[in-house]
Amino acid sequence: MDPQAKTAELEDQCRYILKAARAAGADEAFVSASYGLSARIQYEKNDFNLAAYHEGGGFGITVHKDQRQGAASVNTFSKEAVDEVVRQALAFARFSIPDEYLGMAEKSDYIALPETFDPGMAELPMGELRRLAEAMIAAAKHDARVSLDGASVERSAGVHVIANTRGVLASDHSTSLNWYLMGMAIEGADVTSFDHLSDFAYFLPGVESKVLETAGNLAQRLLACLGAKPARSFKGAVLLPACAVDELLLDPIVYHIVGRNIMDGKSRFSNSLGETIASPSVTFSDDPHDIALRGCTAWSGEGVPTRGMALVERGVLKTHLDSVYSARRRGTKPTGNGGGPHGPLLAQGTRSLAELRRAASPLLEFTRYSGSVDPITGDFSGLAKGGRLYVNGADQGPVKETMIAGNTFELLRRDLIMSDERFDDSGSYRLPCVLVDGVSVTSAAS
Amino acid sequence: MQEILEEIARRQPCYVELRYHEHVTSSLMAQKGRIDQAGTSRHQGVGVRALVNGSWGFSSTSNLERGAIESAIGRAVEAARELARSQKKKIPEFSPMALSRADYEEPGYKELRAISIEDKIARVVETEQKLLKESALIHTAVVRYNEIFEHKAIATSDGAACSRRLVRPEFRTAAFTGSGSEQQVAGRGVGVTGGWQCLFHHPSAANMVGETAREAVELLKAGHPEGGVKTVILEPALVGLLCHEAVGHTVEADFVQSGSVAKGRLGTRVASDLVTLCDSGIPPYSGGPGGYLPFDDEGVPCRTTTIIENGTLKSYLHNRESAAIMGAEPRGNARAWNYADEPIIRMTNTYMLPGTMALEDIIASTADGLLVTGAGGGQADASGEFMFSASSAFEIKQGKLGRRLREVTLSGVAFDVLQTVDAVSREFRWDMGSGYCGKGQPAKVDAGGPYIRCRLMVGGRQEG
Repeated sequence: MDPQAKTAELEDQCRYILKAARAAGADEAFVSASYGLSARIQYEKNDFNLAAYHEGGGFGITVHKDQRQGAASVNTFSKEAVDEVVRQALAFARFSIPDEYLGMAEKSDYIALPETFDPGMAELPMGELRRLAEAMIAAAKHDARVSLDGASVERSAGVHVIANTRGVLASDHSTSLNWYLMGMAIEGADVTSFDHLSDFAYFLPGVESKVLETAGNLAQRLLACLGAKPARSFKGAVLLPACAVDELLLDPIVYHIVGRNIMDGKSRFSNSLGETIASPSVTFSDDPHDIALRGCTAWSGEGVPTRGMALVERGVLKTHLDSVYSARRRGTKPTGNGGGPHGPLLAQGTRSLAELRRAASPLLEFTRYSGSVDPITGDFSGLAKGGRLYVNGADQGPVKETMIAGNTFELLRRDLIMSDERFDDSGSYRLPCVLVDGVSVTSAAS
Repeated sequence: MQEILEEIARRQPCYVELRYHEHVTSSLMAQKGRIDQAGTSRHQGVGVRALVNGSWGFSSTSNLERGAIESAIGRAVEAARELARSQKKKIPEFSPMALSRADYEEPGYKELRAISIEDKIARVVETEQKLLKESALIHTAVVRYNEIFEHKAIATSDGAACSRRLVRPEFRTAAFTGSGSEQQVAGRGVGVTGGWQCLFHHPSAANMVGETAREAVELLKAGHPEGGVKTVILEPALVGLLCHEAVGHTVEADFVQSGSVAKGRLGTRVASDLVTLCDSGIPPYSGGPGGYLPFDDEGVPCRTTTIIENGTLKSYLHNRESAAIMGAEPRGNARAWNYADEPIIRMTNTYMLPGTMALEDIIASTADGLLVTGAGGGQADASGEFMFSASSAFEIKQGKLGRRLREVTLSGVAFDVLQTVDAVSREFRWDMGSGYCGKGQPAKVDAGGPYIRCRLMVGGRQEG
């Protein structure tokens, strides 16, 4: 695949679609078009079970007509499809409710991000994928007690173009290798909870060692859960892994600083700019240009340029996040991350994980949260998977059937202690582990 | 299209499965007097699966021309040959069986096509306004309508040649109450396989607006449960969630082969005598369940699988591959979400059979417990350990319903919890039809059952 040629082709398609929309009566139109190809080796039931190829593309269009909005999409670029999709989008718009705040992004310049397209990756043969997958599986199953329910290695290449009738025209292209493993450890009648890890890389050089590292880490995590016993119930300290920090602490903050929720009266932070909303140890920011993160982008889905920004600095709320629509409603400017941060970062602390495990007693540490969090109230409750209990810093071994419950906004006000190391689980974010107090821990043994 | 697929499939030297799939989704959402979502998405193409020397290869194309389909077969065959170099256990040949050769157009398909966008938008907007007017404490009402029109045509080299057209509409309401840091939200959802009439005559659609509003208001004053192992009565939606998440996934044969808790337990007791649990694409209970299916994506006609019979584990859920390996009979559980996805083992409609008690009698005979209502999300793993969230619960003291509680999560190990079932109501309801199952790909499923009483762990607050 030649990314430049494919980009040019998609740009032409976008221009044609916008022209068709205007010709059909749209006042404004936005189009998003993409093309991609992939090859995948899949492992299930402790054996290889599928090799698959995919190639596809398509586009979606949003139209505004008499201040009404409609949208449609299809997985082809044929002329008939373009005409039909434009007709459908306008049909939805015709019966929609007029909204004077509808708008589209203005033409902008975007920063050039580092290249993330590796021609070698785009053309990686299925045989080479299979060899990588074999190595990954062998690394995960070096201990016979590890059972893999599923795993895959997939290479993909894609091009994405957006354009609107105000002159926005932006594109990006990239390749990636994505790998994933899910499994459990089994020793006699002892079956651990399942766990999974995944990661990605844009480029071929060095990828094999990253793949093997992920596999080894999963095996280590699974084996550490063998012999788990129910813990005991208490209210106290929990060491949150990065994935739970994201889900339990950061996602609720984002919910309340998104412009759409502010304009709809759903936010508790609508009047909190400049106010303290969290512990001074919380500095939360968005870096949309960190290419090691999956959300890395120079432009938002609407075509607004992205930029790095502090969301919460030493506990003080610094900004709200606005889309084009919410900005028009609220009389602000779109921030390029109206749906949430592209590259969430949380500042690390100064204490090691080992130190944090000794910092409170009893203390529950876990690797995965399986539960719910209500972003509106901040109430959360769910299972702490891959748990270990520490008493006076001493490891009491793995625990199971243990639930945690609490409230995000109460926790944020407490003294949160960040680890000195940050984690980028699957390239989703860069977050430390966080020691929190005041969490209800309920055990099946109670 | 079906004739072309059949003709191409018949000429292949190895097992080949061709699936034309058109998937049209339309979505509407109203809130705050505006339309936040109004659009449609159409995907169509052909998915190809080839079994060569005991290994699977898959490919797909959005180009419906004969040449493109034949090229996709070539890629799938090449992929299968490559996989065969690594695959240790080859998939045995499928036993000959009666595959579907019927064409179905399910009720509601034409009815829903005939209803205009204007009327659908009007229904959504009217409902949003009605919900908003239910209480002055509601500051935002959200109403969503979603419909999936699906047309599939399947042809396999060993004789399947069938097609189906069906539609699955969903309707959801949500109300936000309170302000600032004291806010609550409650929601209801209904989903069916069928038309507009089927959707709005579903028991879960009855007084949807009033129930959404009442719960959203009452949650403002609701307390939190105390954590611990408790006696609970689960409503049909939660029983459905239990059947689907905590039992259904562990008996999917691909999970079983990986070592799920159900492995090696056929014929053993896993639940109390009161529990009989099934999965069926064509279940005996009416109401247009959201996972209705006459045949699956391998062309296998759907039939009922009794998973647990009076407490004994009787069967797993199979596709043709797992059935061939484990010497079982496939009953229509292989499905793909989109043309570009390969079919995998999925549940359809998973349910517990009703018993003989009245709900009132179950409540009256409960000294200390909770009546848990409103299924939220749920997760379970291969060990059978599950976690469900429920929108609320009512305390039961000495057989009487008491105050409402919020933020209720339930957890346990499926086969342990099912052993504790000591009461099963005679009421039955499908109540998961607006939901989706996620297993790499989404799938429309339904689940339901009676009210049951059991013991499990309730997540909640501990004393400081």
